[in-house]
Amino acid sequence: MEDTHNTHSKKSNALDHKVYLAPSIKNLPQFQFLKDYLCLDETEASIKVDFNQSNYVISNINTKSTFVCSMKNMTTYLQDKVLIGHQHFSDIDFSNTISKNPKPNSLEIIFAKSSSIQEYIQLILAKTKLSVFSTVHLFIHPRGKNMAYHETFGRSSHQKGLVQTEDFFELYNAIKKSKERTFGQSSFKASKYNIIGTCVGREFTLTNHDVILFFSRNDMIPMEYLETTLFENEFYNLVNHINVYISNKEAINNISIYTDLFDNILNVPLNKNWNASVESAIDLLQVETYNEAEINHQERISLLGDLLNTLRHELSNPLFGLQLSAEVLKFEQLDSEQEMFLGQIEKSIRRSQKIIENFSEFFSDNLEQREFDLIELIEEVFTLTKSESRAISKNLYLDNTRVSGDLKYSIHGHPTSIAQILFNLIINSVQAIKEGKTKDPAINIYLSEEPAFLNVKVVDNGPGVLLEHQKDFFKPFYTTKVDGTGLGLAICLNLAKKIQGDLSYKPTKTGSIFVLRIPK
Amino acid sequence: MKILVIEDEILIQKSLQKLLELKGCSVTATSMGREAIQLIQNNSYDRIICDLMLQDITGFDIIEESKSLYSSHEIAEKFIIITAYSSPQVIENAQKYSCKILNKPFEDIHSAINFFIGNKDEK
Repeated sequence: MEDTHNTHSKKSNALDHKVYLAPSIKNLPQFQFLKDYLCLDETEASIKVDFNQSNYVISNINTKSTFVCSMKNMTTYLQDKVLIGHQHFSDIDFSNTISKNPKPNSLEIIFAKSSSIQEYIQLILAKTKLSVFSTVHLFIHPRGKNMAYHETFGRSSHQKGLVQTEDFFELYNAIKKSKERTFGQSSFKASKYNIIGTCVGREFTLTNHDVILFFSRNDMIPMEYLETTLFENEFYNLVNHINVYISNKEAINNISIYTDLFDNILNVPLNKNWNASVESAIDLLQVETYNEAEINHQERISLLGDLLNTLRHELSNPLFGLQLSAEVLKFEQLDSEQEMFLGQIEKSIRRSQKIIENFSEFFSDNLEQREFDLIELIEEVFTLTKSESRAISKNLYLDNTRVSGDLKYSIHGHPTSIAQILFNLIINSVQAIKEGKTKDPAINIYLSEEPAFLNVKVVDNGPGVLLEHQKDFFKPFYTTKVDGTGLGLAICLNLAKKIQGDLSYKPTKTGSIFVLRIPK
Repeated sequence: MKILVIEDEILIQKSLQKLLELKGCSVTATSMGREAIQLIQNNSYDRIICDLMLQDITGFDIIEESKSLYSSHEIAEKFIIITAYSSPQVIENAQKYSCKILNKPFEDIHSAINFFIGNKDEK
């Protein structure tokens, strides 16, 4: 990584310190600028704060406008112009934190607003000077695994594959040893990795991953100096996006609780050693990578998971004791009434065991696809929402026929995500019904099939959603409830997309219909 | 057949004892690991059904203590571990002693009881 350091030092003559704040978060205006003052680019909004003797120069990198102010004014300026989520800067003691740092010359704060890495890369390939390149190859090796991911991004394509670890490191070491980091078709066994033509690449490491990034021209024309420079300049932005991408790819583990973003970021040791500061920035990014909402949601889910696990452990032993003792009682001479009671006791025990087992399964962190019974899952979700939805009739229909008895409906998919979406939708319906004081309240779920999809309709007879709210209510933080977070539906939509499905709202005169489409 | 049941969930312990006695076994039961070690040292059991998480020590501690009395072959023959937490480490540990493990709750109570009193390879 020595070269990385040197390159950055060269680059950083102009900008000594670059601190990335917001990671690329889809749909979440965690950082929102008042448009009048700081014009938002589609992909990125940045402000740069220069420390010029006693004054600070704040420049909006996107509009090139600058603003000179004292430290005190700067805080006010930022407070006026920058919103974080719904909050102003005001709670953050910006000036104090900055003054702790030993004489920083310049601090660039970038509020990245782009979405997925695919979109980001495609944007780079389409709009920037980097459009001389045609394809971007990304190899990600999760440390300890014997395979590496190989993702190929074209202007309008995205392919995924796997390579062996040996092949990954062969490539990794080839780049590491190379001075120029530019390669022709014969520099390494490029065809083995489907890399075509001349290309420029870099290897780098993240906390848990080794990564290789290649920009390929897809022709045999030798790489020009300008092109490599362009790549180097974009590289640092890409590292962030890749980091975000990798973190998003994986289940959320060991994420420390997101506390005060600015406090953390501004305490990043600001020194000239790129490795050191970026390393810590990357560490921070791992924390900040997830938008707050997602973290809160995941925290709740994992808390629920922990809770259910504890319950499982604590309840399964006494339940098993009951089950065994019921078995003992069978050996007694019982009259028919006693036998009936014993039978019912056994049934209840088995039901309790089943509930515990299913809940811990549905709310596990396990994001793998597997076979499961959708009807059973929906019934478990009904049970889980029982305390909220008391006095509301709940029914499940398969092709418009009410489901009763032990009907099974096996599908292959993501039970955890589906359970979470349905749970949220039902709770939403319950709240709407309660608010609207609906007579004969009911929540019905209808299952129906399409050739490629399975539709799960959640229908309630609550007051429905007003037309004016319909276009926005899937957006994060959009809520009409006094104590709502406005995240429920945004998270549901996000989860639905994650499993390659979709969630939509169908207006109706008699309540609400949410349709969850699950790929078959 | 002389059986020792070591289990601290009283209802499980008493029921297991009863079910095994109904099969004609002579059963001693305890919920304390140290008491179990004493019992093992002073008696000769054909089978020892042992829960892992006890109040004082773990089932593996009991097996470790029994090493002075029994050969590893005898330990593998006599001990059956019953546990609700069969993590990979637990399974690995049990394999060290070549002991059989049965998960709680038992899938089928009757075959579990037969497994306890019969030839261990039956299940």
